[in-house]
Amino acid sequence: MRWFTVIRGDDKIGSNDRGKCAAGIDQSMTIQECQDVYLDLLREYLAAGPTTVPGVFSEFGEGAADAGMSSADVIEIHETALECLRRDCPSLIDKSFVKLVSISLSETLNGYNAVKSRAPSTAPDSLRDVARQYTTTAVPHQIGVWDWDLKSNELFIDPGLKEMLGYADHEIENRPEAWAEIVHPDDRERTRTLSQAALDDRSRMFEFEQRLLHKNGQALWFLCRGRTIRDRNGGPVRLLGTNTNITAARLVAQEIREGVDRYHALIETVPYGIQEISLDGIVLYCNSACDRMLGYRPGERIGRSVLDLLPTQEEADDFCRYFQMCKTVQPPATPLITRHRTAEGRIFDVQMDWNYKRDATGAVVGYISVITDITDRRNYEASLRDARDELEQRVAERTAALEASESRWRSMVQAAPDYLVTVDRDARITYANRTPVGVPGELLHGRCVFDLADAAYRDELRTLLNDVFTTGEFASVEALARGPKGKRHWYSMRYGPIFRDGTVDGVSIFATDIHERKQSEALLHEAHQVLEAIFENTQFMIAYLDAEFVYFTANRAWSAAAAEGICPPFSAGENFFDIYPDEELHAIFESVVASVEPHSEWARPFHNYLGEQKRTTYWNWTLAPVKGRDGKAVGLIMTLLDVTDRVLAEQTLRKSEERLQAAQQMAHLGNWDWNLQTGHVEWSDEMFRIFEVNPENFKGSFEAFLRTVHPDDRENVRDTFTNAMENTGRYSIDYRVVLPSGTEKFLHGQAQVTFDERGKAKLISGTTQDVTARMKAAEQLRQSESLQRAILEAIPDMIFRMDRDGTILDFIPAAETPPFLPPSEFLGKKVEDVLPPEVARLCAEAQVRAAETGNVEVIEYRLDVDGQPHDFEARILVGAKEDMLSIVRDVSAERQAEERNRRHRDELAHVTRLSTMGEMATGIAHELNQPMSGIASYAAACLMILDSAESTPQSATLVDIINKIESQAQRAGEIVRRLRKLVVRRDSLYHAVDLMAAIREVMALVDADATHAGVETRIHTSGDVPCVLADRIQIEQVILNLVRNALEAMEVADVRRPRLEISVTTTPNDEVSVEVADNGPGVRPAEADRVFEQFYSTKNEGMGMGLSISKTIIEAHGGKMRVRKSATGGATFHFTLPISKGSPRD
Amino acid sequence: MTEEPTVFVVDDDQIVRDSLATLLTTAQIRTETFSDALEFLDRFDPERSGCVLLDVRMPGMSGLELQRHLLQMDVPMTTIILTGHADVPMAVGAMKTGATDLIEKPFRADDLIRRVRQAMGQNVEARRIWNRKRELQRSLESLTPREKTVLSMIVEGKATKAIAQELGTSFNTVRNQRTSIMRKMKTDSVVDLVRIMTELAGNPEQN
Repeated sequence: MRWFTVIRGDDKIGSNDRGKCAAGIDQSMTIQECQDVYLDLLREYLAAGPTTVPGVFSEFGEGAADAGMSSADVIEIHETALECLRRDCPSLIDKSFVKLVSISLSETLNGYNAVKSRAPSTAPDSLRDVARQYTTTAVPHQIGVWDWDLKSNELFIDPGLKEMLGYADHEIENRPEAWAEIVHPDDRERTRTLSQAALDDRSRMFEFEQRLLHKNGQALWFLCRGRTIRDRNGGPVRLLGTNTNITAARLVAQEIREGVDRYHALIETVPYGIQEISLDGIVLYCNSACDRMLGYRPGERIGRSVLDLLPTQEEADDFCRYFQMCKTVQPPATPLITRHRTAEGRIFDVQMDWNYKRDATGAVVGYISVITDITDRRNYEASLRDARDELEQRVAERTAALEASESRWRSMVQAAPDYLVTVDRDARITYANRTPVGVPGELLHGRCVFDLADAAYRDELRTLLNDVFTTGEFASVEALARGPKGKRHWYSMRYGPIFRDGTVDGVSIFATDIHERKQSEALLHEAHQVLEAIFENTQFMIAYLDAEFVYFTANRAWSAAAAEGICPPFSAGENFFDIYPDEELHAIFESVVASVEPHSEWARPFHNYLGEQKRTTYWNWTLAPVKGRDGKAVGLIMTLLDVTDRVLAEQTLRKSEERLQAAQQMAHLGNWDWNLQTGHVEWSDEMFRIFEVNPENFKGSFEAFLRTVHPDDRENVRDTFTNAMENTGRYSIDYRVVLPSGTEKFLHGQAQVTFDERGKAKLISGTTQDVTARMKAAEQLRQSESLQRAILEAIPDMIFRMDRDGTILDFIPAAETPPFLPPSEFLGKKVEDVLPPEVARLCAEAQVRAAETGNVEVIEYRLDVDGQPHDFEARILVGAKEDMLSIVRDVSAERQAEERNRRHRDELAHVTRLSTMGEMATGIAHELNQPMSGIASYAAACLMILDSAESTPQSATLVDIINKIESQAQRAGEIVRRLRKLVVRRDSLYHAVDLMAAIREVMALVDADATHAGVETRIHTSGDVPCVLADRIQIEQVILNLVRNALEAMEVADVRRPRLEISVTTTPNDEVSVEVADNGPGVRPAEADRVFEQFYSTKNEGMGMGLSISKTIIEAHGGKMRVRKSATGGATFHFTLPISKGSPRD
Repeated sequence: MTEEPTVFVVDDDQIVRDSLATLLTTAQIRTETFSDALEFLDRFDPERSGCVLLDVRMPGMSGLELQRHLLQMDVPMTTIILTGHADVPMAVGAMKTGATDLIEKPFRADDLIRRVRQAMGQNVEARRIWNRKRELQRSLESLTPREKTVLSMIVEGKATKAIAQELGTSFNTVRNQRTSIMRKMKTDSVVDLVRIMTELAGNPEQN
C-alpha cells in the first residue's frame, strides 16, 4: 500500500479545492510550474534590489502550504531555482545575492509556516528573524535553520533549534566545533563525512538523519537537510540547511513497527492458516501456517485466486457463488466446512472460519479467513465410528457363531453313530444320546453306566473312570458291553473329563461299536495262517516285493531255485534289480505298478543268473500287484513255474507252420483241403480270417460255403465246381462273398482235384485269395474317372491335352461347341498340322510362355467352323504330368455382342459429332450470312441508285466494282453453304421407332456410369407406348444428352441419393411425351430460356451444343422441348414426339 | 386498303434490317423495320396491306412462331421467311404455317425485290378474298335462324316445295324467306349462293 503520494512531473499538487492561491500558486499546478513561478519571483526581486521587502515570497510560502506541499518541497523549489539562476546568470552571484536569497527563503518559509501553524503572518526581515519566529511558534513544526559560513567558520544556529535541545541561545556557541558536541557521539563521524561529501559534490543536496543530544542527555532524532552555496568559481562558500525534529515521528513509527512485528509474529506462529482475501477472491495475505498447510512457498499464493484451492470445478463454483452472495447480502459469517487441494494435489477437509474485513466506514473490502485442517479430526471421528461398528459386528458374529456351534454340536451328537454318555462322579448316567438296546437315551438316565458293560470288564472300566476323575485326562479302552439284539459287542471307549469350576464334574464317554472290526481281525488272522502254509510249501517259486522292487519275502521253493542260479537269490531288504539287472523286466515291473494289472507270460526265457554258459530256461511267469487301500500297488507277488522242457519241444514244431502262415497272411491267401471221402475240410488260418470265422466254430461244408457266396455269383461258383470235379479237375474263378458281418469281399479261387483210380474225385485242394482291396481300388478309380469326365463334358469349354511338343494327346469335347475338326483328325497330331499357321504360332508361343512362367496364358483367335467365323478364347496352362492343357471356349457370341455395342456407341458418337458440327456450322452460317446479306443488299441499293443516275465513266466503274462486291458476298455465302452441306452427312431417316426400346438402349450405354455414381434409375410408362415417327439415332442422341446432363449435374452437385426418372406418357394430341427428371440442383429460372441456346453451357467443359442440338432435333421432328423444375427440385427436361401410325423397324 | 402496300422487315440484326430497308426503299418499296416479333405484333395493323419479311432465327419468338401466330389470328398477311440455311424440315414447317415464300441468305437483291413484289401482289389478292369472305360472313350472320335453316336446305339442293313440306310451313313463306336470303347475300342465283356457301365453308387457303 502507498501511504503517501509523491507529486512529481505531471502529478497535480494538492487535493483541496480552494481556488487560486497567492503569488500565483495554484493547487492544480505541478512542482515544475511552481518552480517557474518561484524563479520569476526571484528574478524580479534581484532586479529590484535589496531595498524592498519581498512580501511575495511569504505569499508564495502561504500558497505552497495551502497547496499541501511539504516544507522539503518548498526548500527544494527554492534551491532548484537558485541553481537555475546560477546557471543562467553567474554574474549575479556575489555576496548581496546570497543575502537576498537567504531572505527570500526565510520569507517563503515564513509564509509557509504561518499557514501551517495557523498563526497570523508577520514579516521578519532576516533569516534569523525567521528562526526567532520559529521559537515563538515552534512546537508544532519542530524545524530549525542553520547557516554555516565556511570563510568565517561561523555557524549560525537557529535559537529555536537550540531551544528544541533544551539550550538557551547563548549556551551553545555559534561555531561548528561547539555544535559537534551536541551531535550524538555515534553520529558525529557520519555527520562530518556527509557534510564533507556535500562540500565536495557540486550538485547534490544532502539529507540524513542524525541524533542530537538534548541538554538533559536524551538523544533526539533530527532530519538534517542542507545544500552547499558556492561562489562563481564553484568553490563552497556556505552550507545552509534545516534540522527537523523527527523524534516523535520515529517513536511512533517504531512503535507501529514493533506492534506490527508483534502482531505478525503472533500470526506467523499460530497453527491456523490465516489469509486475507479481496472481494474478488484474490489472496492478499497468507500466513506461513497457511502456506505450510497448503504446501506453497511463502508468498507464492499472494495475488492468486482462492478458488485455485478448491479441488473440483463444482466446489469452486459453489464457493464463488457463496461469497458473491456474502458480498451483496452480507449475512453473519458462519464457519464453512469445505475441501482444499494442496500444491501437491492432496485434498483434505478444511474448516474455514471467516469474517468480513471492513474499512473505516464499515464497508466490506475483503474477507479474513482462518482455515483449519480437520482431516485428522474427521479421520479420528471416522475411526471411532468404525471401531464401534466393528465391535458391534464382532459381538453379533460371536453370538451367531455360538448359536450355530451349539446347534451344530447338538445335531452332531444326535446324529453320531457312536454312543455318547455322560456320567457323574457316581458313574450314574446323566445323558445318553442313544442306547445300543434301542430305547431312548433318557431311559438310561440315573442308571450306573457299568451295568451296560460285560461283567469281565467292569472293574477295569471303573478304575479307568476313577483315574479320569482324579487326573482330569483323557483315556481310552476297548471292552465288551451290551450290544443290539441282546448280543455282546466290542466297543472302543474314550473317556473325557468334563470340567466345571476347575474340577472334573463329570466324564463323557464315547463308545464306538467295533464289533465287526474285531471279528474281521480274527478271520484275517486265520486266513493268514492258511496262506502262510501254502506259501511255504508250494512248488511255485513265489517272491514278494514292495513297490520299489525290494525283496520282502520269498518262499522256500524260491530259495531252492536261487541256489541253482535259476532265479536271483532272495535277500530281504535288497532291490531285486540290484541283484538281477534287466531293463526289460524293470519296465514290466513298473508297468504293473503303474497299471495295477497283473502281468503274466507263458514260457518266458530267463538267462541263468550264474552265467552265460548255463542254458536259458523258460518259465511261466506271473507278476501280480498287491493293492493298497487307495487302490495303488504297494507290492508285487512274483510267481514262477519252470516250463523249459515243454517250450523246447513246441518250438521246433511251430517254426515251419509259422512261415507258411505268414506268407498266406501277407497275400491274403488261404489254402484248404476237402477230403471228399471223409467229408473232412481243413482250412489254413488265413482261410478263417478271410471268411471271418472262428476256427473253433468251424463246421465246413460246401453248402455252408455256397451260402456265403453272393447270390449273383452262386450259380457260377456251383457250375465251375461241379465242372471241375466231373471234367476238368481244376478251376480258377473270381467271385464275391457276403459274410455274416455284412462285409462284401472279392475272392479269387483256384483248386486242383485229385481223382482215385476209378476216376472219382477224392480230394480237392485249393487256394482262396482275398482280392477285395484290389478290386475296390480299381472300381473307385473307374468311378472317379467317369465322374470327372462327366463334369468336364458338361462344362462349355473344350479341353485339349498336349505334350510339350504340341502333340494333341487327349480331348474333352464341350457340351455345345463342336471342335474345329472331328477329333479323329487331330488326336495324335501336332497343333501346327491342324490349325492355320497364324493360330498355331499363337498357340505355340503361348504354350512356351505358360511352360516357362507356370502362369495361365490367355489367347484369342478366330477360326471358321462349318463356314462360320468363330472367336475362341484359349487358356493354356501346365497340366498334371508336365503336359499342357488348353481350355478353349467359344466366345463368338460375347464378341459379337461387344462388337454390336461398340458399333452402336461409335455411331452415336459419330452422329453426335456430326450434329455438333452441323449445329455449329448452322450457327456460324447464320452469323456470317447476316453481314453477307447486309453487304449484298447495300451493294444492290448502290447499283440501283447508280442505275437511275446519269451515267458517267466513273459511275460505270463504280457499277463494275459494286457488282464485284455483290458477287463476292454471294460467293462467301456459297462457301458457307457448301461447308454446311459437307458437314451434314446424312439426311434424317424417319420411320416408326419404338421409343421404349430406344430409351432402354441408351440406359444400357450409361448403365455403368449410373451404377458407379450410385444413381437410382427408374423408367415409368403409362400403358403401351405407341411408336413415334422419328430418326432413331437422333432420338437416342437426344435421350443420351438429357440423361448424361442429368447424371453430370447430380454428380457435380454431389447429391446424396441421386435419382433419375424417365417417364413416358401418351398425350391426347397424338404425341408421346418423355420426361427426364433428376434430383440435382435444377435449372435456375434465369437460365431456363438460355440452356437451349448455342454455345451456352453451365458446365466447365461443356460446349453448349448438346441441348441446342437436342432442341433442334426435337423441333425438326415436329415436337417441343422444354425444361422445368422437377418435383424434387431438380431439373425435368420434357419433349414430345408425334405418334407414328406404322410399326417399328430395326 | 387505301394505303400503299408496305414491307414489314422483322429481323434482330440491325445491319440486315438497315440494308434491307435501304435496298427496298431504293427500289421504291415502302418499308418499315422491327427488331423483334413482339415489336411487330405491337404495331401490327391487320388493315395495312403488304408483306412481312421475317428472319427465321430470332431470340424470343422465332420467325416460325410469329408466322404461326399470324396464321392463328386469321389476318390476310403474306410472309416471306428469310433463313441462313434452308433445310427440308424447316421449309416444310414454314410452308405449313402459311409462309408464302422462303429466301435464303445471302440473297440476290433483284431476286429478293422480285419476290417481295410478287408477295405483295399476292397479298392484295388475298386481302380481296379475305374482305369478300368477311363481307359474306357478315351477310350470313344477318340471316335469321329460320333463314339459315332454309339456306342450308337450299344448298343441299332441295326445292322450295320440299322445304316447305319438311318445315311444315307454307310454300309462300319459304319463297319469301328465299327472296330475303338472296337479297341479304347479295346474289340473284341459287348457283351463286351454293358457290358462296362452299367458299365460306372451305379452307381459306383453298381460294
